[in-house]
Amino acid sequence: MFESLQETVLSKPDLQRLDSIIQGYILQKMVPSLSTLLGDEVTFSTIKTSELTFEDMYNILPQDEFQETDVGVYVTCEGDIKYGILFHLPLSDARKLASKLLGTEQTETLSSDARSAVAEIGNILAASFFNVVNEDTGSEMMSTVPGLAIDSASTLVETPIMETAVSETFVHTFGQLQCVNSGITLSASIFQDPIDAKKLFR
Amino acid sequence: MSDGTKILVADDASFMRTVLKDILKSNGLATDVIEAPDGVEAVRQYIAHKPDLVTMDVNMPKADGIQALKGIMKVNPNARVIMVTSVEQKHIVQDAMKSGARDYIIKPFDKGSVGLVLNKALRSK
Repeated sequence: MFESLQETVLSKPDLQRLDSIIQGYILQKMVPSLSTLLGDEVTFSTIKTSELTFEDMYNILPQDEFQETDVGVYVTCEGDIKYGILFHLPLSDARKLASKLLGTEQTETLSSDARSAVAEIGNILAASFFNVVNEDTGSEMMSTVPGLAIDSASTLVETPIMETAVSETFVHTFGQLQCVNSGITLSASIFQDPIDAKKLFR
Repeated sequence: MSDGTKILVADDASFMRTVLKDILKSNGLATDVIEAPDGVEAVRQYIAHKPDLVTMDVNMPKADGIQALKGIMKVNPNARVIMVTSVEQKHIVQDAMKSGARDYIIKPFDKGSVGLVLNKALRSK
């Protein structure tokens, strides 16, 4: 087990390199996809990639990020490389996002149509990320049907981590997509196993 | 084009079904739109309604879009099926085209180009 752990730990330069690669992937397709979907200018900021242990699970998101109930859309990708992507945003922003997509007034709660719209945004954005990885590495992957949950941020991150990590640690990349005109901020947490992360170094 | 034209929209996301229905109606492409939330239901609805065209999402529960496409082609080898996918991977698109899909649409899409693809498919034999 010790040998396995040593083999999978990424160095600081590895993490910086991964940071740069993933940022490139997000800028290449995820940002333009969200911009097309919302008809809004979208900027990308705040990227941080870390290799963490399961003990860090509940502290990976910025503490000031979530002041209220959060909405998370989770998509996994199976195949040559395994990913878990969690898109998360405050409920108020999710309501704003759904209202914009459905062309309806904002409601106090998320209707089934609103949930479907927010989940589909996550699905399309995750697929846009997987598409770039596929083009860049030649890896074949297939994404799962997206799942949507409304819960605390700490609960939302549990499933992606447990499903993605196969060794002692996991790699977490955190970034934010900001819609300039609507003011919506969509956070993205990308989870992968360190062994899979190394497959991007080509 | 829309006189008596039946179109089956298969997508697990009710939001996407609504978007596609709006496109079909605003482009005057269909008078009757049938919906299916998964691949199994898509085949069932195809057999029940014999639509003129099917828009088929690739990533769906129960049976995915490729499996549903194959099921429909068994029933009618001349069925007009347009795949709708957010996963732009060659092997998925190639598999769909080999299995009989007429064309495919990548999400996110703009309404104009989708209208053109669907119109072209409806005019083809």
